[in-house]
Amino acid sequence: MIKLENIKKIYYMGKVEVPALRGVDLTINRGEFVALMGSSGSGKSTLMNMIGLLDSPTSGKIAIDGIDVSSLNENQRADFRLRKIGFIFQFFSLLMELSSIENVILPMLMDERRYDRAASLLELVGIGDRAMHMPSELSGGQQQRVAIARALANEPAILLADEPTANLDTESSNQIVELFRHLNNRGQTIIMVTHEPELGERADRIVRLKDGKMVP
Amino acid sequence: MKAWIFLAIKDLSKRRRETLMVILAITIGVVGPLFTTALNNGMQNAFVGNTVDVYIGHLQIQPDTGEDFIPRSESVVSKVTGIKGIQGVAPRIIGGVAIESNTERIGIAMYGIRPSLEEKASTLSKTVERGEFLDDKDKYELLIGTSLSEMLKVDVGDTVLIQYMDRQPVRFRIKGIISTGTWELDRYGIISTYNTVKQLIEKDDATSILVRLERPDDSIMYRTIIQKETAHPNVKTWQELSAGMAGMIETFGAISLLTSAISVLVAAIAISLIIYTTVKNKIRQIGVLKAIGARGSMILKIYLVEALFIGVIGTVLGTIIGMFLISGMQQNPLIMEPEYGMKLVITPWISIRSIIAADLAILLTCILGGIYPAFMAAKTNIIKAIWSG
Repeated sequence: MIKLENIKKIYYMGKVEVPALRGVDLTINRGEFVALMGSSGSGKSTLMNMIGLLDSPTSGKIAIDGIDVSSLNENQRADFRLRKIGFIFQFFSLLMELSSIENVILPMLMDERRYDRAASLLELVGIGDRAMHMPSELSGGQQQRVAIARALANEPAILLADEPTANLDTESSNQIVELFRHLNNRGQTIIMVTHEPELGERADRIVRLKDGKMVP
Repeated sequence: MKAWIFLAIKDLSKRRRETLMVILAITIGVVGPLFTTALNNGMQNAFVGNTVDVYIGHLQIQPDTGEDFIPRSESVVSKVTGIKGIQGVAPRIIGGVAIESNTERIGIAMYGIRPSLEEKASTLSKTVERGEFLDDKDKYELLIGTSLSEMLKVDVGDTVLIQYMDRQPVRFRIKGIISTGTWELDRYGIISTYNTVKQLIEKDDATSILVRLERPDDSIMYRTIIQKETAHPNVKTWQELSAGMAGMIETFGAISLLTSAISVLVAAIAISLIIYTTVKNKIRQIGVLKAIGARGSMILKIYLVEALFIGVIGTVLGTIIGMFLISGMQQNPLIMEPEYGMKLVITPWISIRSIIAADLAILLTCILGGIYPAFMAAKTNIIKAIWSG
């Protein structure tokens, strides 16, 4: 359902070109749990940003569910992200002035759909009893669970997780990856960026990047 | 509820202290212009209004150049009285006399009026503080100003001697003490009936004829009409006669406008600063919002709504407080009463139109103040924002 063809991304630092991706071809099927792995500077986060429409490739084509997303304008990309993609960030990135359930409701509000499933999502990720707590009252692992519930709010086709366990202890990291496995078993397509091999091995497939290219 | 309203409310609630402080700044920004405008209007009324209403009239027919009196003044009065749009016409005769009490003797201007005509042509009859106003039938009765009465140490019922040139002094009884707010009548003039003064100074015609209009702003138009009707060229408008004072009031008005503009500018800067600071501090959150699907327009709305909310609350509060202060001062007007000077009663007032104009100006400024930072927030680069801070 996700098809990347010859994706290149070049950043410019003044007049100096910095190639982050040098022609990546990748297909991810519906229902897969894929780990993007590589050392720092390999291009894995850049590739995640391309798939998540946070950034545009310098050249190449990206199609998601048959739609050429490379040609969408900014508002169309925002709408696509809202309805088709769920994001989980390294730093949790919850809105601190909203309670847990309000953070989960937010994408639903933005999509102007009913939000009565927020509580059930918090149950799904294992913190239904923390619905009214503010993020500052939650542990790192719990905050990340709220972030996952928020990412699932609009039943996205793809769940993108950028280093979701980077700020968690080992036990919490394992719990989060277990949760991803659980969601994947329910049919959710998940792409996770990680630099931790033991976590990447728990995905269905590992895609390795080095110097902006896929490596075997 | 729309997502952007929800987020704006949540954001404002989280920053209650800062929000309240900016609301306070806006409130003061509204109170200032409202109060200074009302005070300026009150001063204008006190200075120019008093002078026009009591002393110079909306129009004044004066003698021709080189003459001291208006020939056939009674005929001029009747012709002008018949013109539509004219509320009142009253002749006045003026002569220089000496006034003597038990303690003082000074030179003074003596005005002769027709009391029944004055009641329509001026507000002189409403300025009596003690005693009574004159009646057409009065003879040897006087009205004197508060300042002069203090100087001469006389009051209602007392008598004074009035002497014209080297004629025999005549005893007058003080019928009323007036406070007009003009130097000319409170300190440097006394008033008796027209026929009494005419007889005293041995003249037949009026020195001036006051005209009161239904619409004072039409003075120039009516000047032309009166000149045609009476074939009398020397007709002055109140604007011409009060030019010096009007100029002073205009200066006060300009200062008031300047201080109001500064208040509005301060409000704009306050709003702009708080929204800008919020955007800077929340750059990562803005990035996350955009990452999860918020359009730039939604981000813009969040911060514009916050600016508008602060502006509306501040404007409403400021208007209420301003009107409260103005109302309080209307119940307790500012009274300026220098020794031997004219007494001024300054009662502030402000029209609904001015209030609405001031409020709209502040509101518009609040929105404009919030636009730039809101726009910057909407244009935030998602990746840079997420990785910032």
